[in-house]
This record gives sequence, C-alpha cells and structure tokens, in this order.
Amino acid sequence: MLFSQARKHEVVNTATATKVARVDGFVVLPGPARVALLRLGKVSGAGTLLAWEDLQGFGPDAVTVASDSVIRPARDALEQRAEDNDLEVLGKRVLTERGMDLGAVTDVDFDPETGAVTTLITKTETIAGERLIGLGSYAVVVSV
Amino acid sequence: MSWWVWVILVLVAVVALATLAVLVQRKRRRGGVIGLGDPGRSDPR
Amino acid sequence: MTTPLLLRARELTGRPVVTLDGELVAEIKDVVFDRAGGRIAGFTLRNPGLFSRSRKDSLPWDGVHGLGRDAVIVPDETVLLAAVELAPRKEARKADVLENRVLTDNGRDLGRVVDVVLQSGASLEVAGYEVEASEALATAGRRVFIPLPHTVAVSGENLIVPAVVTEFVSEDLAGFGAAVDAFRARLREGTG
Repeated sequence: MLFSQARKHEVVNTATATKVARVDGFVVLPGPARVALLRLGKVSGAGTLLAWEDLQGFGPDAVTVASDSVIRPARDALEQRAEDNDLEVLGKRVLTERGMDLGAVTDVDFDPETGAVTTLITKTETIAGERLIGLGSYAVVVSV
Repeated sequence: MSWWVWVILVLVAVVALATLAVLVQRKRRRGGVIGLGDPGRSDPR
Repeated sequence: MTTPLLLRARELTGRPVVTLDGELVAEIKDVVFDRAGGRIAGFTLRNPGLFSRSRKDSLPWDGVHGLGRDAVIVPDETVLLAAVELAPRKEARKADVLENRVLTDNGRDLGRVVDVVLQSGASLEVAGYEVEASEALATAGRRVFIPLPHTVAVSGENLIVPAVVTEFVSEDLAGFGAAVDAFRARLREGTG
C-alpha cells in the first residue's frame, strides 16, 4: 500500500465502533526500514502517536485499534522529533552514501501486514526499502 | 542646508553600507584552496 | 573499482556535509590539501545558511564516508576535528593558492590560478590547476588546465612547475585526465 493511499485513513476503535482519529503521517525508521509509528490528527486526547505494534489492523479503508489508550504522546527524544514532524519522509531529499541526490521522496510503498517499507519513490527512481541507511531532518540516506 | 540634502545624504550612506555588506559577504562566502605543510620540492631530479 | 573523476575544488564550496543519519552538520568552506603529497587533507567548514559563520571545527579526509556531486557524507559528527588541527587560521590565510601565479622552472609566467582540479579515486588528489592563460601560452586570455607533478614548490604567490608542462596544457576538463597521466609518465621517464 502507498502512503498516498493510506493517508487520511480513519482510525476506528473496534470496541466502541467509533472514529477516534485520522492518519496524518508515517514515521519511518531504518534498520530494517519500517513504519514504526503513525502520526494522527483529529485526536481527542493530548497524544498524537500510534505505534505500529499497537495496531489491530491496517486495512484498505481504515486503521483499527482495540482501545483509545494506545494513542499516546512521545516517549523519547526520537519520538518527540517524529511528533514535531521533523522526520517526515515525504518530500525529503534522498542522498546516496556517495553524495548523489536522487530527488525528493514523492511516495512510499509499505506492507500493511508488517509495516515493512518496501520501496521509496522519487520522481526518477524507485529505491528498495532495504537500502535505507538513515532518515534525519535534512535527508534520507540510502546505500548504493 | 535644506532638508532634502540630508535625505539624499542618508540615502547615499545606506546604499554604500548595503553594497559594502554584500561585498564582504561575497568575499567571505567564496571558498579557498589551501595548500599546507612543507612546500614539496619541485620534480625530483 | 570506481573510475577516477575530475572535479573543481571550488565546486565543493557550499556543498552540504550530511551524516549517515540524514542530519545536516555544516557546509564545506575551503579545500585543504597537503602540498608535499598533493593529497586532500580535508575541509574547513561553515554553518549552513546565507549569513553563515565559519566554524572552528573541520573535516579531515579520513572522516569522509562519501563525496559526490551533491553532498559530502560523514558517518557522524564525531569525525569533525578542531579546525586548528587541520589548518591554523593564520597559516591558512597565507596559503590560499587561488590567484597565485604559475611559473615554470625556467621563469615563464603561465597565468593566474582560478581553480584547482581534483581527481577522486581511492583518495582525492590534486591533478592540476585551471589557469587564466597568460601571453606565454597560445590560448592567452582563455582558461586552460595545467597538469601538476606529484610534488610542486609553492610559495605565497607562486607555483613552480616544470617547463615541460606547457606541452600538456588542455583546454577542456574531459581531455585533462589523459594529459595528467601523460605528463606524469614523462616526468618519471625524465627522472628514471
């Protein structure tokens, strides 16, 4: 599934059958490349993060959770940066470890079963997820 | 002197300062190539 | 094995220094080379941005993970050294080779250095100079490339090169790699 298709998915609590939030973004971490957290909007509480392992399912039309309590604020410095949108992968420039610019990330393909990032997509390139080395506030660094 | 002379003087001073700032900045931003260490001998004979 | 690549030193100025974690740490300011070996010793740095300040730390060549057209990649910030270790500021100001005159060892002025050509392979070496040619060369007034022997005498104002160099002047960077090799081969014959 592509980030562009999965964005704006509603997060539904299966216990109460109510919408509790909306997916605003994805936090990708390297080693191995995966969606570690979802960034949420339209939340009722203070937190806006939802860890991948706390999901019940990532379906074609909605994201399901068993309880509202899994939506939480950042727990550490890395999560705080994710919550502040510092680590957003979409739109970020891709650099190879040899210093070549491959363009900005336009979309990301991931496995909705496991959260594994399979492909990073730029205007001119498709880059296998396993090439991801690091993702910071300036660039996405990939191996050659 | 009438007031407009002062206005012109101030304008000229502002333009001069701005030009100077741009020049200094450009010189500072231009990188160099620095050769360090013992000057090597020219081709060994 | 990567093919050797020629690039101009001044193209490196302003290039971002990025960690493998994707963080921007600095921009390249000056290229520092070791005169005796003709090898790049490292880079002085400045902070990114329009009104950027020079930084006290610098990037030694050993700390470079990858150097490409768009960025210089480093493993992390710990590879940066205090700048004085690489290029003491007072010494650095006097040692800039841009604007230097290129003189042959028999006393002909070949022109003024406008850039330094680097050759990247396993290490980054000085391959030669881009020079605004003087009347001594047929191409007076135009920019030409002059190959460099592995070692060269440099003072504050002059670079001394062997007179034979004038036979290996090239007008474009593409043909320059071959000219450098031919020139160095000739010098080796001369000394052997």
